[in-house]
This record gives sequence, C-alpha cells and structure tokens, in this order.
Amino acid sequence: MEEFLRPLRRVVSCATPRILNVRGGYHPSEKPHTVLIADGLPAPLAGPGRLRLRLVHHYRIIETADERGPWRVSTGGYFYSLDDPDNREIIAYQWHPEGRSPMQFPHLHLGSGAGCRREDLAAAHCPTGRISVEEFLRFAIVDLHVEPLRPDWADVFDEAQRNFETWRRWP
Amino acid sequence: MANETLEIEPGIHELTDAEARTIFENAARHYLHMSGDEFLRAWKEGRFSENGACADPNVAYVSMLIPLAEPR
Repeated sequence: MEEFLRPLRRVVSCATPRILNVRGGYHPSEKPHTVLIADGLPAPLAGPGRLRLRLVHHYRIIETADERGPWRVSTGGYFYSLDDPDNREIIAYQWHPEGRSPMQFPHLHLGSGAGCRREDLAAAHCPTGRISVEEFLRFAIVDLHVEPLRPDWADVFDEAQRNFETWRRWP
Repeated sequence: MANETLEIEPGIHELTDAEARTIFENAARHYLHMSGDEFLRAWKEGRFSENGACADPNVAYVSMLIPLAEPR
C-alpha cells in the first residue's frame, strides 16, 4: 500500500499541497477503497488559469503470485477533472466500470468550461486509454499552464509513469 | 482502535467513518444542493440517469464518493 499511496502523494504534491484522504485502505475487500484530495471540494491550482482540481481514485488490494506479491493494488475506477474559476468543468477523465453507467470504458468529457460549441461533443463520452494521475497532471501543467509546486515535478512524474506502465495489467 | 484518526504519513490521512460520511455529505450539498441521503435515494432509484448515463458531471463525481457513505 505504501508503494501505491506514497508515490501518489508525491505526484499530487506537484500540483496541490492538499492532503490525500484514504477510506478503507490496507485490506482486501470486495468494495473498492477510495482516495481523494482533501475534502473532495475543488482544490485550487497555481497558474494564470486559476484552475481547480478534483481527483478520486478507487482501488482494491488483491493477492498476487507475481514478483511484487503477495499483494498488489488494482485500480477500480477514477475521476480526474479540471474546473475553471467559476467551477465549470473543463475536462474530466473518468473510468467507472462498477457504476450504473453503461459507459464502462475509460473516457473523457469536455465540460461547459471548455467552451465546446458542439452539443454532441459536449455530451460525448470520448474513449481514451487508461489515464494515470501523472499523465493527467502533466497535461494540466504542460498544456493548461498549471504551475507546478515542485521543481522536480517532471522527474516525479517520469518515475511514477514508469512504475504505472510496468505494473498495469492493461493499457 | 477502530476509527481513531490515523495519519498514515505526512500528507496522507486515513478517514474515520464520521469523517468519510461528512465529506460525502458536504460534496452532495456543495455540488447538487441535496443531502447525502437524498442523493443516495435518488441514485438508487436511477433518477439521475439519461439513457443509462449521467448527464450532470457533478452527479458523476458525487457518485464516485459513494464508498465514503457506506459502512466498511
């Protein structure tokens, strides 16, 4: 668990000083555990856009026979979004395979804060591959000009992404 | 001891049942102007769905917080 939560905290700390709150945590469970930023309300980010971050991640602890066993962390779903200063969602990457929605593939939404003029695109579930937290925050920093809080953010993200790609079971 | 406040390490906090429920309640009120219980009822009854999907991104977000409202 520490190998999951501690790197996640390092990655998130590149964007916000807010803590990670964990519900459930350290034991195998049929229900997913949850990690989120602070109180779940939008976390303000540094940078000219004054964007706000929401991040929720579901995971399970699963027994495994591979070399990192006897336990591994498996992602059960996520919601990563950036909102504008008026709390309008700009973009959200989601994966909720266990929810009610038939959209059980990883996807992104363009929200009202993106200024999308096409109604069909604004309502669309755009398919994506599975997105890591570090990929999402790198996008926020590089493309949406969020100011990173750590000078070593790129190294932190690179290391986390390498681990993510090494241990994920599917793309 | 169950439900003692637990700092896993700096910057990571394990929520008590009460803290988790409070976060869920506050999120439901902040994003959807309803109580946590009202959200859960509406969610279970499928009242947020349009063609099986959530049209409101805030509903999708609050639904991801449902595990915070459930007993462990």
